[in-house]
Amino acid sequence: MKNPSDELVRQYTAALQEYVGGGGEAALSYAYELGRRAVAEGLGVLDMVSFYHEALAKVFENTLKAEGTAQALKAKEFFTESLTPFEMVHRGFREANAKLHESNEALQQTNSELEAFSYTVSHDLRAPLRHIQGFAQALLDDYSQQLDPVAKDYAYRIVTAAGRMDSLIQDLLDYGRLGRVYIRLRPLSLLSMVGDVLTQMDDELRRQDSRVTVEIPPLEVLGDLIILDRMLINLLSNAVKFVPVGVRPEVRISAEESGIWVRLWVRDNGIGIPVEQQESVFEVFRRLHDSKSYPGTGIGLAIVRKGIARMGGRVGVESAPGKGSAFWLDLRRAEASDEPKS
Amino acid sequence: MNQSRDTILLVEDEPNDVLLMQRAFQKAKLFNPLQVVGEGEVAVSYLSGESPYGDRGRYPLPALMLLDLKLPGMSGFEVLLWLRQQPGLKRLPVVVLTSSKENTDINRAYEVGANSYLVKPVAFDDLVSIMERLNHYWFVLNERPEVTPWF
Repeated sequence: MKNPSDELVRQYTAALQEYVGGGGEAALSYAYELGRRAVAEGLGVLDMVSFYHEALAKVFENTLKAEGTAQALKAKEFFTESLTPFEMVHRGFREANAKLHESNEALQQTNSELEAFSYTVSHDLRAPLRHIQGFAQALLDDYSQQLDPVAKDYAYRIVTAAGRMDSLIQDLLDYGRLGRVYIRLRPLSLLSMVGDVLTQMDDELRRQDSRVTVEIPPLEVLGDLIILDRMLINLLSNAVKFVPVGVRPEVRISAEESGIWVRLWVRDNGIGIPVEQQESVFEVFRRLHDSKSYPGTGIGLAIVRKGIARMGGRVGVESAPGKGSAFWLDLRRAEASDEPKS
Repeated sequence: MNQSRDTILLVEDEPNDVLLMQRAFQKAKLFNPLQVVGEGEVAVSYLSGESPYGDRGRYPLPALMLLDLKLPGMSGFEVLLWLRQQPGLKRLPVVVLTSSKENTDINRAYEVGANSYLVKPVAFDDLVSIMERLNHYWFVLNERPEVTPWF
């Protein structure tokens, strides 16, 4: 396959040569057009500069050979002093640069709007929530004698609902932040990471009397520790949460290699997910059950999906109602990939 | 230990928060006199003893300031910036009490001289426990600096 940039250099040099040989504005415009094309093909600024110098050196060399020193020096002088062709080439990447700058500014704008939004959410939306919770709690604390059981129940419901809304806001903020944070991929030992998560979740697992088995070969994956931790916690707490009443949760965590990937499985003996809902469980605030049977904010799997997307991996589930669920994460094997590019 | 002479200055513009704070103080058995101002500018007047806060008997210099960041007009950051430039007064321990958990706010608050940064919790019981610990830390454990008016 012909290297397009070599071809461009050749054409570009020829156009400049033609201009030096008296080709007029048309040759110059053509050189400019070629420069633009090079930039459109993704030629970087530095490459473009060396591209120009390369062409210039060739023109000088050719002129020297064909027409002698005097003419060659004239050509060189022309290029270095007039700078017109250079300007014309540069107009190409100045335009491209301006576009880049524009989209960069638009991105920054979006980003700062998001920051402002999350600030408002955390700061302003939570204030009234605090007041609702606080005063309902004050009723329960200070006027317990005057309230009949129904009134107390109502006040209690207000307190609970405010707490729930607080969790929702917190989760939404976490989810939003996940889209913006800088991801740092490092080689991580799968086994020790799972071990750490299980230790962190010890209370929760014990409360549910869960049985967790781990079958993980010594493998290293590329991931961001904090995000991967959070994802695993979400998967595991779902695994022990969505079980039928009276059933002891049993979770099996395993891993297997396949090519450049390591697939991590979290299998449970829970209620399972119908095929038609296996995609939508990963959506934000998507809940398949009422919060009374299975409490939660409905953001856990959305965080898992966003987290794995940020790390360049994949997630999925195999499940059937009554047959349990098996969630899998495809993570890049640490040995298999090159050092992460910054 | 009788700490009743140590005034706490609460800079908080939201009346509901003030009410809940007062209640949390009671629940946490924090019996220090509480002075409340709702604006940054007023906090500055109070601390510098400008009218109507000239009478230090009625408006004593606080031993601790609880400062919200988001205030109408002069912000909590600006109050801190001002305070840390006042000779004598600048030693006053300041605990930021705000609803913002944003890193930029936390870092900036420490940069301009906050001594502690606390986030207002949603659950009232958590607020009570924060106030209990605040009392214990700042009024029992902590050695306090001399805070004097500069004029």
